[in-house]
Amino acid sequence: MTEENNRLSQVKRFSGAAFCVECGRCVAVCPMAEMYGNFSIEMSPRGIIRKALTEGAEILRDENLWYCTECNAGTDVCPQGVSCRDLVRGLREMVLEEGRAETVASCRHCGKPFAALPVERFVFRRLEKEPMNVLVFLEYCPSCRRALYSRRNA
Amino acid sequence: MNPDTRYYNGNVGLVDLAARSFRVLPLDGEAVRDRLGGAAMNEHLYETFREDDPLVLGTGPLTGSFAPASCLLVATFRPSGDSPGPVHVPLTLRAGPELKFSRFDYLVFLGKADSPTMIRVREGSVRFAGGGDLFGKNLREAALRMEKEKAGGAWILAGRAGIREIPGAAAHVGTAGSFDRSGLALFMGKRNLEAVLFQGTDGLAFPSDHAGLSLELVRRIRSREGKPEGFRGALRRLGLDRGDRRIFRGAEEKVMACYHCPFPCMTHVRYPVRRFAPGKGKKDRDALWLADPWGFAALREKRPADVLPLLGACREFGLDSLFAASLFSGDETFSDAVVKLENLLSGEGPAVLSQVPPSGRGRIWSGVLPPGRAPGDGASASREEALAAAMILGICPMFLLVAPSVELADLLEFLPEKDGERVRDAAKKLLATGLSVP
Amino acid sequence: MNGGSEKAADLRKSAEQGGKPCPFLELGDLRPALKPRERFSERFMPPRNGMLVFDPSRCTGCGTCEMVCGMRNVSRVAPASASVRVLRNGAEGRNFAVHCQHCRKPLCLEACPTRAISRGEDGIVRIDRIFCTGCGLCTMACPEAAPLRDPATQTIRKCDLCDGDPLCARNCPEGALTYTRGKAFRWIKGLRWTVQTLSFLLLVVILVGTFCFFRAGVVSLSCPTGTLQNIASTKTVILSTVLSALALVVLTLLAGRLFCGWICPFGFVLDLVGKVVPAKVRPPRWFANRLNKYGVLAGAVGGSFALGYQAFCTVCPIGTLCRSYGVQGFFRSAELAIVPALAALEVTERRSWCRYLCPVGALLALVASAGLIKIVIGAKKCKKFSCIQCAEVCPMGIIDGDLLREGVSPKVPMKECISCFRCVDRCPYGAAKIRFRWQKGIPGEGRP
Repeated sequence: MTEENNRLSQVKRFSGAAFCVECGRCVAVCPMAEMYGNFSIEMSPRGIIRKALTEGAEILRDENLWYCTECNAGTDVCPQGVSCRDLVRGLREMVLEEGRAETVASCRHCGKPFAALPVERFVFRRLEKEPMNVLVFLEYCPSCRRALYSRRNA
Repeated sequence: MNPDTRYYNGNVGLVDLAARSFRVLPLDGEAVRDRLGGAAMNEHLYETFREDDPLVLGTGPLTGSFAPASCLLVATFRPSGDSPGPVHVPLTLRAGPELKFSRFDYLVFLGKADSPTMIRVREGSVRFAGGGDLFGKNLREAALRMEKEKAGGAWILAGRAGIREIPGAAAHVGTAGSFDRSGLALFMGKRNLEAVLFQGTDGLAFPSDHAGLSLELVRRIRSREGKPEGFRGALRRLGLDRGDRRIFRGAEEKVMACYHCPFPCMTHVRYPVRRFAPGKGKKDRDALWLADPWGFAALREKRPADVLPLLGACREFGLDSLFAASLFSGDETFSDAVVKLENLLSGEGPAVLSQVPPSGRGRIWSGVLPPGRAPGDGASASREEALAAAMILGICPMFLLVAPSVELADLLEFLPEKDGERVRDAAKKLLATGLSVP
Repeated sequence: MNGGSEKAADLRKSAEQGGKPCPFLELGDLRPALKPRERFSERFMPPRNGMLVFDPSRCTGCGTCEMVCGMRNVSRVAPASASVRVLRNGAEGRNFAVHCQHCRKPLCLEACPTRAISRGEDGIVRIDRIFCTGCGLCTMACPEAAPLRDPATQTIRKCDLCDGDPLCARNCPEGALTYTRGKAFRWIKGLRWTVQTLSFLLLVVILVGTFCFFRAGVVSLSCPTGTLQNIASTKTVILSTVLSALALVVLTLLAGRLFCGWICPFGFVLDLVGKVVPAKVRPPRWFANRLNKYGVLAGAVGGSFALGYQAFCTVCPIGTLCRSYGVQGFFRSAELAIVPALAALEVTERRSWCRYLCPVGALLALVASAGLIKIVIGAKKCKKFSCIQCAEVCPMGIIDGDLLREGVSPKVPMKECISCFRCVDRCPYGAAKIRFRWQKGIPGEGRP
């Protein structure tokens, strides 16, 4: 457990999470607001930072951790220089290392996880009108997708 | 800013294989002013670390630039045995630019690793990985493993023969083989260095108008030399062409080029294997990347009927085909020939045979002209100067051989100070050291 | 292929079952979209936007394209930051350049949560820096994973065709990447409309009732379906009648249903109507069955046999057009209605009369299945997601666009094809070609 806590503090230090003043600028630019109808404070960068700081390792089991697209727009506007992407990424890496993979979409071909599941489903939903046999590419990571495309094209 | 280091990152990586660590040293501006880069600068670094018997991988100022065929990476080392001085092996494909775009200009490898190691160079750092599962594998499997690593950039492999320290081993750059006839693979194998992977993500600030300059030069070269025809064209231009229609009958050819090369000298062939493996179907083909004209010619001398599959076997095992040709008498059957190669791998080859590294000026561009070819024979003095300059600037020497109308003056256009004198001086100095070594 | 359908079904089920609204927002909930204005002139002359064409057989993998593109993007020679990436397969000896295709219906545009991506009038798909948050969903949505994110800086940046003069195409030493605006003059289209107009003038306006039967001295031509009905109704076979029907049969054997696409005056009317009327209404399934026309043919012949006169010829729109609307035609009121009534079917699908009802077409279809030529579409040569113009422009709707997007070359049934060659004319990549039946090659297949 201390191993985990150590790692957690490392991630928090690296992202500078302790500097957060909860101004909410990151929430204002976060694209998640325009992706999910149930966008709440919990899944916003501000919420994640808060939870990580107050609840410790509980954040690792929170499903709200997986809505973020890791775009880094929050970091760009943060007055304190807190990197929300680094925090989310670090936390996600910890979860994946434990082997829990139900929250990520893994590539069908190489097995590498390449996207958070809610994000991938959002893209899928947006592209719904396309026929199924065409949307199968959404199940591959970018390198495998590229390789498959080149094979389809002579 | 020092104009000499403008086309460099300014980093020299010092890799300690035994301790599995690396350091970054700043690039010495004085030395660059004096030597410019490439083989000459490699020699300087070699001298600096001489006691540790290093392997130096180095680029030139024009490596990665818009100069034509700017792909060169020079490997400098002293071949084992009683060789007098260091030898420079040109490594092409994309190794040079990928090293430079990983924020290193030169890499010096010291010491010996405890176990087979793979080195990954990326974004200014050097990482050590256990190469264990590449150990003793044929090229095909190694290539698959590299694919899985999503390496993307370029890789140098010691090869199956190299790791086993078999004489006659040749290093591979990608799946194309290389001009290693001087024992680079052996050297790497002795130090348990299985492979070096480069993955360049960064860039260098070459002037943007050089793109247009390069385009013009390409047009001029093509109008003078005609169309490049890959490997077959290279054979022709080097005087090694013998028709070869029977050899390539039924083969699908595709011309492949190194980094920014407008005059490619390599061809990827897919030849039907029916003739050699009677059990196979009519459509079954094997693939092979042809890049070494002299190795091809030597094998063709001995065994004209099955050059391609034997070349493929040499490539798989990591053997220099020029050396391997000396194993054959020409009378043995195809399967016997393959058995001979395999025997060599397991150490049961003829003991007397060993690779003779080039001497004299041949050391400078080793592997590109057949060893033992007397200096001045076929290559005029000014051509030798151009070749040495290419090895210094970071331009592929094969390019100069297959496009003889390209002159040093054409390449000088791409330097920050188009100072031909300095380049020629550096080339002359390099040539002189080549001769003066007993 | 099952995973996709399972996921979609999953999403729908979970949304409906849980009683919860679907958690994802629709594009319509956001700021209003820029609707592309479809100009009326574009129906007749589709816009010729420039596009990058890649020929893998010429690519040597030198990477010059990556160098110059990287130069433009980050002002340094940095192949990793280029908007074009060359995939090099040393073992198989194949090189392939992956770059944004500027699809006509971009998927990245659909996926962008802030609607930052738009397709300009020049056909170039661009990202508006003001609205882009760098989320990378476009990267995930691109079917070919075109390089959209710079691996060095992690910013989102895409190919913008260098605003009309792409550097990669200019600098490629082998000419593997080229920039083209397609054909300037679609000569097949010009020729076809000319022939159709002339044929209409001749058969309808100038000469009367000519399509059904035409005689000039010894030469006589007649409609093969009419001839069949003639034989059935009179129960006699006159050799000269049969021979005169053969002209059209021979033409079909040589060039497929060329008559339907180039000569039939009713087809000309349908094409004109189709230009003006949008095909919006979905026809019922019992109607939209291509076998129906054989039923009509059988009915025509059977009816003629039973009734003793050429049953179908009285209501045939082609015949009606020729007879009633010509200069010397007789304007019988009931007959006048047939042509507009059947032409009105164009609101359902293009050439729906030809697809589902025409007995002349049915007979010619039977002949054309043994015809000399065929249309081949090489999916490997075409650009799939970004184009599919052939499938959209085909009036008979026989090109399977979904198969093309999968990368499978569809088989074009020459029975249904009216040899209008719109697909061949339109394809900017030269992937749609006319071939003889025995020719095996498909454009793009075989060793690149």
